[in-house]
Amino acid sequence: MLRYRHSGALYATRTNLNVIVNDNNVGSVPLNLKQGDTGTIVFEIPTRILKDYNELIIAGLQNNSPTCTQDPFDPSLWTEILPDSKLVFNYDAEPFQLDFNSYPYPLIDVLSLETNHISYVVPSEQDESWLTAIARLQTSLGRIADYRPLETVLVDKLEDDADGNRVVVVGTPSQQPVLENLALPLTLKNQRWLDEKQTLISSDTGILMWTVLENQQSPVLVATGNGPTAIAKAVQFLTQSQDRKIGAGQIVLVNEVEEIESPDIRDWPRYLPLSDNFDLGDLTGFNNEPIEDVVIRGAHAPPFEIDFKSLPDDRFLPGNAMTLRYTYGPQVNPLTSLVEVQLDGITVAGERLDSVDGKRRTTLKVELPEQHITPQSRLKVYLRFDPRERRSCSRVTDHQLWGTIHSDSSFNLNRQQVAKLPDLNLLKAGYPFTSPQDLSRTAIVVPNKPSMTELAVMLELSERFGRLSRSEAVKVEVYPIDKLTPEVQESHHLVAIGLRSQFPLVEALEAAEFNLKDGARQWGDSQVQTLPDAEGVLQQQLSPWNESRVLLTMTAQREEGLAQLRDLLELDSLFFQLQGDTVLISANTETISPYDENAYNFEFLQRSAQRDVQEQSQLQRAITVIQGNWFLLIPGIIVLSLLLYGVIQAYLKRNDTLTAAPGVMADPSAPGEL
Amino acid sequence: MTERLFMAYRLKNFRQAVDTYLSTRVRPLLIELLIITLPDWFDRSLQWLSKQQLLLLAVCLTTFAWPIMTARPTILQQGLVALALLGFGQILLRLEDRQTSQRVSEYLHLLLASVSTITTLRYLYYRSKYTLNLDTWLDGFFSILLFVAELYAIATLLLSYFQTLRIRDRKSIPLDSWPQEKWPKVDIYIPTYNEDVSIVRKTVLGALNIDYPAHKKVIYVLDDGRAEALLLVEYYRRVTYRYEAFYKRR
Repeated sequence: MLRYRHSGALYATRTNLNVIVNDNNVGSVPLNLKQGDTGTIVFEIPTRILKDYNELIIAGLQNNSPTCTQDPFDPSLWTEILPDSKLVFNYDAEPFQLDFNSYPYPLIDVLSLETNHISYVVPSEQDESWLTAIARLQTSLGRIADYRPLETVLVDKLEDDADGNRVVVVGTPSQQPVLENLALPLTLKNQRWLDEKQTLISSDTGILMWTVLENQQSPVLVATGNGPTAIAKAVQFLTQSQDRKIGAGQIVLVNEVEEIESPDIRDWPRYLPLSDNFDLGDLTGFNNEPIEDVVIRGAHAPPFEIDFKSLPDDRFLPGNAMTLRYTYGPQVNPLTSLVEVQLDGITVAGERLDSVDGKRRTTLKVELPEQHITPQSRLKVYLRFDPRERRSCSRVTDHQLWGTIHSDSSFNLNRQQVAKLPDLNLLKAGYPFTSPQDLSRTAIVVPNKPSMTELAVMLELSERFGRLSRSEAVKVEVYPIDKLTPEVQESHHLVAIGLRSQFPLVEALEAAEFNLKDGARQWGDSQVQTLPDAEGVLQQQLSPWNESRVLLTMTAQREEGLAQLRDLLELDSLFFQLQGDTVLISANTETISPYDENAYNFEFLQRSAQRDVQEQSQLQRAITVIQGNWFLLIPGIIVLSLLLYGVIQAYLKRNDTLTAAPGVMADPSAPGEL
Repeated sequence: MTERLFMAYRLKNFRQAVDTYLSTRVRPLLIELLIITLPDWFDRSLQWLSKQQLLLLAVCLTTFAWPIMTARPTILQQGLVALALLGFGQILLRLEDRQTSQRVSEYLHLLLASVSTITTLRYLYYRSKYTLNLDTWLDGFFSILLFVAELYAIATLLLSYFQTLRIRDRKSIPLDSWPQEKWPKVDIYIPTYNEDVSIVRKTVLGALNIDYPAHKKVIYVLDDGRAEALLLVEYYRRVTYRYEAFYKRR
């Protein structure tokens, strides 16, 4: 159903609106409404032209005169598609086979029009292996879901689960007593799994099964085994994208899973390559394919557009250049045509297409301003063609106008690896937790007996990390505070989650600038009592155990505060507002709509001193320091010259003492003295 | 009016006071520091190094210049750095003038040379990294040509520093205390080839006028046997002419 308005100046018989689905015209309507009226029209889309991925085009042909529309950019030529236009689908779910062949379906349906709902069954005793397993699973689901909404709930009993939710049961039979009540293809005896021949399955073989809750029509994914290693293996199989492709059938017994080596900490897919010199063809386009030569055709062609995302810990120095290689055809008007490069919406260079006969593989050198290369940048190349002549009614003939952007256009960047931490702004790209991208340097710490809300925050965080990272494997780890070893504490980036009353790393809170105390708050040297305090606090600080690692604390006085932190992680509109080093979040109303951006209050604080954190040699660090502070050049040059001077004069003195001859000639007639 | 004059007088007085202070206090202090304290300190701390090791250390130190060479401040910042270094150089020059001691001026010269070397390295890095245009062979050819010319200039600069590291200041030795018979005999050779006769003449005159007893001094003009030169020899009879070229041809 389409709702639209249009300009009163449109000439009714020469103006219409077409709707095209997958290159099939599904209907057309003349734009002949009276001034100010709103039109409603319903087009039927035949089901046979619908596919998994569809393209919908709404095209308008507009004229404001019976004979000739002089100016195609006349402001009176407008039509508006109103935002309450709808796509209505009338569909029934098809019955499907539960098969690991099609995993992640039906756990996540990437083609679904609705939010995917997943329920995790929480055992009464949550140990380290269970926590790590569900965090990894959720991270991998986050990667699969990417930008699609995913709703996760935690339930105690299967009966609490809403109808149609996908259920996930992770754990050994002793951990998860619900397993006994499920209709499963394998037999359970004395809380041990037996295979089809009724022999005991080894305790390090992971078991994955699909089943269904008949009364609720919910598919159930079971990841189990006869021991904690088995469960870790089962989940690892599901999280590794290459491995899960070989899964099939209703049961998968996982004997061995390949350990995938961690990628380089700066090897981030979807971001700029590690090397400072690379070609356009080394970057990937929107569908993760390498970019090839692109042809641009027509007078008002859209730009060629690519992501040009720097790594969050890149610091760009002056001297970044792009050499654009392009070709254009012989029909363009050399007086008015232009090639133009935009970075982040700012035009950085342009050149007239000045050859009458077109040019093959000509180049344009573009200096890319360092301040505009950010983790969110986009690079656009416009070829703005104008034809030599216009036809009657100043209509543009533009099929003969073409240009090609070559994939061997090259980039030469001048950058250093250094990040100023703590900075929540970098967390928007996942940094530093998603570095390396398999999260192998990240550990989440929770209280020994985490509450449901704390678990929910932990899951939401894992999912967010999954959405922000791309890697073959997931290696995030979750520790109850008692299991956290000093080595992990020192070598990992840490995330600590918990209510203030049972916060796992209290000593870190005490050291931080903003500190929730028992019923009180402290900010710098000010301290106040707040009752009640329903705000959630998210704070990033340098880890007290290792200066080059980061500690993210998520805490609140009450459960509501934690729930708001969960929303902060879940909703893109909130998460991508992060800045500073401390965020206080509170909700305005009891019942919050996730679509209402104004339902939350944010306060951003920045107090703790930022520090340069980098993974480089001392020489590199010296270079960074000097290049970041130009005035150090003067003392640097002088000190170095003094050093050089000191050494050389010492050298010269040695020379003198060796060759020093007696200064007075004894006898001038003696041969050899002169 | 009187007030103004008074002010001007005070200002003049003040400037004089500053000048005297600088020349009597600061200058000796700086010279002491740069010429005595610093080298002494280096001598003491480097005494266990051999000559080769010292040379190696100097080369290693230049590698520390890498961060300084590669830094790329904005044009304004670069201007300020240049000004500061010019100021530093100027201070050193001020220290150097009105200095009679050979040692002081030699040391300051060495320090100036090392500042100049490091800044030149910085220029060299910039020049080779950012200014070479190798897009087409024509651009590349001329660009490299100019670059090589500049390299030559830099090499000459460094060579000139090397040449002036130690300026030999030889003192003449008085021969008065020896009897003239014991003085050595001296031969002076003036090789010429197609030289203008006037030049040869001047040289010969110079040689004749050397303050040395005539019987102990023989001057030879080594020439290719031109008639003009022979005439010259005739003219200055005291000059022995050796008909060397002709003699060799035989």
